[in-house]
Amino acid sequence: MRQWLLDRAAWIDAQFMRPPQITPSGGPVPSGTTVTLTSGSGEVYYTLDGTDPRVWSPAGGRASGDVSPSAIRYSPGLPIVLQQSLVLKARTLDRRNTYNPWSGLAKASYRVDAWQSSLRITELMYHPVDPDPCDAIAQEAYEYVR
Amino acid sequence: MKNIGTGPIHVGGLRFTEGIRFAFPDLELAAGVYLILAKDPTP
Repeated sequence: MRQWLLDRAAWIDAQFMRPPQITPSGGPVPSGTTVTLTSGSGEVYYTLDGTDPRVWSPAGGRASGDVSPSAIRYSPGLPIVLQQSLVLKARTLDRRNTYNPWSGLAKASYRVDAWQSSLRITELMYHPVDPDPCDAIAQEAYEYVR
Repeated sequence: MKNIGTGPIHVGGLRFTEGIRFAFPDLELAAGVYLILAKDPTP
């Protein structure tokens, strides 16, 4: 019975596609970071506006299960470059899987802070303590250090 | 310090925590603007 359950669970898992892998997985990132999406099969569709790349309604209907109009098909030749904070959502679509062509939803939330990429400390000035006027050697040494 | 980007940066909330201690007030640095931070010699 136990083995049957394990086999059954493995079979159920095999009926569903794995969601795409998103790298990096989210969090604070410098501006200009490139996001990579990988999946074992099919095509990856993603959105950058926080919506689901799949159109879905529980009741079904003609449009249910289609690619959302705001979804973009991922291709490694067209990298995703982060310029601002956003939420990326992605799903794998494999039409050969007629039972359920969509994978689960993968989500990554990025925070791009402008100061991390644009704010530079361009100069540092340091004014040391004035040397002791009675100590000639120390004065020279301080001069050297400066 | 300089904003080398193309857009303004809000520095409010940013802090220096090592070397010197300073918390920036709610301030916006426009693109290309320098900010000079100096210690008050007569504290």
